[in-house]
Amino acid sequence: MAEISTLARPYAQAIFSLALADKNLKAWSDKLALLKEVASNGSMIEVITNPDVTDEQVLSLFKEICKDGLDEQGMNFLKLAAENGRLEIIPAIADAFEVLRAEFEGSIKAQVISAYAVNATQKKSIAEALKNKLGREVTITTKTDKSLLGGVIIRAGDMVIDGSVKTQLEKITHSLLG
Amino acid sequence: MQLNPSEISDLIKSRIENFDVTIEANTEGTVVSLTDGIALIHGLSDVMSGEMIEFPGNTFGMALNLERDSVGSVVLGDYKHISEGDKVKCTGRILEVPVGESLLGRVVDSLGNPIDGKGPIDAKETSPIEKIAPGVISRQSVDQPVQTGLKSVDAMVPIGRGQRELIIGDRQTGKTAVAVDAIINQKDSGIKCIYVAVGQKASSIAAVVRKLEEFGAMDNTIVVAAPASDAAAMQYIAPYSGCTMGEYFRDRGEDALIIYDDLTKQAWAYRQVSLLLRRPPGREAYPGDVFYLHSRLLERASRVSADFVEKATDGKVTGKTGSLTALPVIETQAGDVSAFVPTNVISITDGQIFLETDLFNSGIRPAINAGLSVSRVGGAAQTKIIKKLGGGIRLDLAQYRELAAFAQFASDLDEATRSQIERGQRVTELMKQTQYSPYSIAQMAISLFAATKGYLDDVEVAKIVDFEDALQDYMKANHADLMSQINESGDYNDDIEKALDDAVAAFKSNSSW
Repeated sequence: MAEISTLARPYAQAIFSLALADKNLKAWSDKLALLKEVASNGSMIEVITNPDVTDEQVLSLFKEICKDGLDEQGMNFLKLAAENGRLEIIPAIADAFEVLRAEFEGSIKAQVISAYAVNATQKKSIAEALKNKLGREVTITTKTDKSLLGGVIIRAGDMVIDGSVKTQLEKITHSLLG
Repeated sequence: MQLNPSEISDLIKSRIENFDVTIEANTEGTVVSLTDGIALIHGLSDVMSGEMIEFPGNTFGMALNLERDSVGSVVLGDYKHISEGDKVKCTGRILEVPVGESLLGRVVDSLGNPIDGKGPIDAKETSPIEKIAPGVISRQSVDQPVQTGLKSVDAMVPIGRGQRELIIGDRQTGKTAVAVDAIINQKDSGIKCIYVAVGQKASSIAAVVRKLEEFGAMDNTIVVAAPASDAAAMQYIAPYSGCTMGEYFRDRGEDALIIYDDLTKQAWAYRQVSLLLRRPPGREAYPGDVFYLHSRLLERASRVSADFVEKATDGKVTGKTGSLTALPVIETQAGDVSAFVPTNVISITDGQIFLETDLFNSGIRPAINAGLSVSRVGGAAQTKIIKKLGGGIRLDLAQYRELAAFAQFASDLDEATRSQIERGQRVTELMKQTQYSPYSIAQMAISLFAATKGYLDDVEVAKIVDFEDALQDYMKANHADLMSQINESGDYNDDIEKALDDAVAAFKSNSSW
């Protein structure tokens, strides 16, 4: 049983090199985001995995839903995925493509989770600090979570900086309990 | 002495105040599957091989399989509270354990946590459990003895400081007994001992600890316990943890002795972990690197030169060599020394002590088979007196073994054959020793002297043990200064020979046994 990310990687790399050559990374991002949205839908998944439904029927369904969002190349990609039976991993392909794009453009998405809402200046200083640490442009999304009690947790890709009061209290508990 | 309630709260207050609030950036991952103590993790892009991974609930794991899209890790401990979807973090530290003198006298688990209820361990240093063994230039040849206190071992298969001597035999042949006797005899020798118990019953480990305490040997011993109820991963790393604790002493110019009891169970635990990690099985279902499992462990037991010690201690200790002696134990099935793991370990170690069930059952304990047991260091690691007097013992036993079949027709044989058989029988009786009664060098010298010089030849075989006991008592009572002289110098010259001759002759003529 191979990992989904292993299966998605060749597709994402192929699309990326194509997009790079054509210089339309943004367009492909949008196309893949649309396809991901559609392919993640519950009823869509049922249709895809249904053995009674033929490939042509699935493809025409996709075309109808996406309408103008899908051009010829997008359609080709969809046909290829259907041929190899990889329609289910389209969300994973989209994610892998985003990672490659972010790597290339030197940008990264960071999520800041805090106990209390972060104001604009704080957000800016966090972005600056992250830029210095990671060497990339950072786009920040914020979220509040009261259970943190204080401080922030910053997630960027695989890296996490945990400065929340909740975690510190847990650490103290463990060190006192020995 | 009661602790004041305010003292307790002051203690807690100071611990909280001094708590180091560091915020680090870690790489995070998600548990994708968790079966039988093996967690498959997605993410963790910066993980190192063998790194400690932190699971929720203050549990740790070790990253063993680094694949392109997932990390396979073993959970070191209980895993019931971990579920799929949990976040795990890298710690940036390769698996390490506390080391130092503060561990002496304590019973710890494979990660160095105390399990004897005597409070936390104040270890100033930690050290990684996987280390490369000293190189060729850093080593020095073995020429100092480790006195085990067992006559048959010290006379026939002597062990030196820095040697690896395998103790191999079937179940219930006295392997642990040999090891424990060796530890008890190091009470005053300055050698620090480490007893690593892998996969044994917790009651057996408790019994060993009790015995060591009874004989006062626990104060310079560390017990690393990974009983059968521990996770397989803990049993797998326990010998490496013990070895790291022993290397601490070796690298500061001191001597240490480590006993791995036993490596068969560690190989089983490693096999379990490898099969669960989907590594391909080889012979006897062991993974392909089961040889490397033991070789990298046993290569770390060595004698190191003074230069190495000086470099390792940053110049603080000069002119002293350090050593770590290893006594691994392997359990064979039905005496089969040609099975996979026994042959592996025999080829790694510098000799073996082979214990046999038949000998054990016929009353010869320690049940050492003198023919198959060997020490590749040999005489270089014996005190002078034992070397001189013990040299003939092996030969006598070898000749006896050759003629053993004829022992039943003892009356029909020629003089020479009969005397060899009789000598062999007496020497075999002499090599018997009760448990927990180690012999000093002088005591051993007396017994070997009596055997080699023929003083036993006219004593009945059945009375040899009594004869020896009476002789030892006599020497202790009447020649204590000669005994202490031998103990201190270990020399053997004409004067000592004459003194011993006179003493034993006097004993034989005057005493009864």
